[in-house]
Amino acid sequence: MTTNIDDLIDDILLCVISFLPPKDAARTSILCRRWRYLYGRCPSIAFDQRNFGGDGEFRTKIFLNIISSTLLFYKGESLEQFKLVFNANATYKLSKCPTYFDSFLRTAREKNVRSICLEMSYASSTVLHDKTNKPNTEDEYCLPSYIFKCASLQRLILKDCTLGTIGTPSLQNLAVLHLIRVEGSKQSIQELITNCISLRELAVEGCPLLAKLQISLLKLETLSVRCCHQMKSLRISAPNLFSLNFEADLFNKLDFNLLKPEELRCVRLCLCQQKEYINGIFFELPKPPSSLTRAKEFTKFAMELQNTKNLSLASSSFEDFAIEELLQFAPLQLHNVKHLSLKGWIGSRKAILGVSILLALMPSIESLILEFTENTTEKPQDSTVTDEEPIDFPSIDCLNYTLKRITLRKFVGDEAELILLKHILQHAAFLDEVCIGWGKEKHVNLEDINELKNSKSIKIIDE
Amino acid sequence: MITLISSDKRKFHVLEEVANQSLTIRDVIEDRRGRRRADRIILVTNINSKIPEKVIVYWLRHFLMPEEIAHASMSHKKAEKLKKWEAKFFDTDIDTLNDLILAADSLDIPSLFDGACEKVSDILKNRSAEEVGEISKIENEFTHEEEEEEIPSENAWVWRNEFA
Repeated sequence: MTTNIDDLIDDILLCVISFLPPKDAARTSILCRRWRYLYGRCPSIAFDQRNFGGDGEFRTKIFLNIISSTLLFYKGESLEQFKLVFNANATYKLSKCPTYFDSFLRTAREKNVRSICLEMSYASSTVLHDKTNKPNTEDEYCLPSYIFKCASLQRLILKDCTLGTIGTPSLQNLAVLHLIRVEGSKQSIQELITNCISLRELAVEGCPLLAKLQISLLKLETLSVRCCHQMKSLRISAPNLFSLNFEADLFNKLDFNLLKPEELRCVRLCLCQQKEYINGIFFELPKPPSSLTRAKEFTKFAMELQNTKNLSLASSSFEDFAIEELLQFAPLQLHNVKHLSLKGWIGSRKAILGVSILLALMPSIESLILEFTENTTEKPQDSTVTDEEPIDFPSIDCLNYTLKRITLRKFVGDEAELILLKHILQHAAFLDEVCIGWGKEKHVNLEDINELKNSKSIKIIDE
Repeated sequence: MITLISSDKRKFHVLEEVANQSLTIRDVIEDRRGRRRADRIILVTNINSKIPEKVIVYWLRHFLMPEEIAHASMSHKKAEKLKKWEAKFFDTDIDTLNDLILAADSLDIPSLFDGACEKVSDILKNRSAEEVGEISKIENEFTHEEEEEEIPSENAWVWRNEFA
């Protein structure tokens, strides 16, 4: 017994059709009588201008006409998804034909659309914000306020859009909201977020003008705030928050306030300074404020992370953490952190000190991931670690019994890395496994590391 | 342990936690909780035995990381691995895929359903109507006029070659 595709019921066939690109989907209407009107009921309408060749005035208008006829002839009861992607570098800008756009959104709203995704990408996707690529704000198309009054909407994804006046949004059912490189007046983004009371997932990325944001949402589970460099104040009150991804200029007087997220289990923090982002990792030496202020900032942050189990920190250099004052703040110890992942440059005694301090702060770590990046700081590296004066590293005896597994990524085995590795190995008595992923070069053979050779119980995985 | 019985009477024993990925099975078990052991047997009708095997393989792969998938907190490497694995998993003939879709629909396993639908649409993508008809064994029963005039006028843009 096998099932032929024609034996499937309509609803399932519609799902299959909704995965097809629009042209192939429309062509299924010629297959047979049964399929003829299936396409008209396909619950997902997704168009991408990049697949329609040409971006001159003529082509753009044809493209817009196709969309509007598809929308008009839609016969299903409710529209699952409406997705539009516009060509980044189109010579004919969409702002010149706002009426089309308004009518799309109005029709979609009438069809009780559940998910709207609008992408008008101007910048290339790797650089999260670059104002030079953007046209003047006067030419930009502002989203009409009525899409924020669409009660059926559950998912709203906006990329490179501009918010006009949004009135009083009423999106009671909205569960997912992504605002990526969205521009608008200062209040509009805040207003939008405040009024979406059912939000579960929120992402605010690359909104450089956003200075203040207050998020107070009862149901919020996933939050990601990235690349908002002007952010001066971020207050989060979300008791059910599960996962937080926050990248910001941590030490630049940010008023960060996170109120009792009891469920928080997964945190990714990125300490970074400004400007250039490459895949979310930041490469630039921070202009160091006095170490004590930094220590205080970090303390404030750490206090909020008391329940966190997985912590991952990325920084341009581990020297950022070489603040011995941190050790004196007693409440700072993060007893619940079980899995720690660190990423940054290590090449000076100060950086090694930074790592040791972090380790000393988290006494219950079971697995540790260290990823070594190249030196991207402004400091030239003339001297090797051995030339520097030795510093006393803080004791990390606390790791004695808990640390089970170390993973090293992009390990080259230069002096600094070996000093750190030896320092950790000396203290970790119950280590089961060391997993090594080699970097571009390889300065050392595993057999030469005495600490690894001597303890028979450690399993070494050489990747 | 739960026992699944396919329409050709083959038995499959699965851990309850694993089978819970099917929302249908989870509900059934929830309803029958506290009853006799015989009630832990579930008939999966109109599915031949090849399919439960595949479904269980899929379950086992996903069972290892349910939370990570749900919250998108998976590491890049793991996600890559899973993607590769899924590509291989769905790389079968269209009949099996149709069966998988049916099974995923009746057992309510959303990720499997979407994956299989996507693969079927991949197979149908970029093909002429004749080819699609052949693959899907659908006979064209339109009259000559319908095929030549009526239908092309409905979605005129589709039949023009300029939108390749």
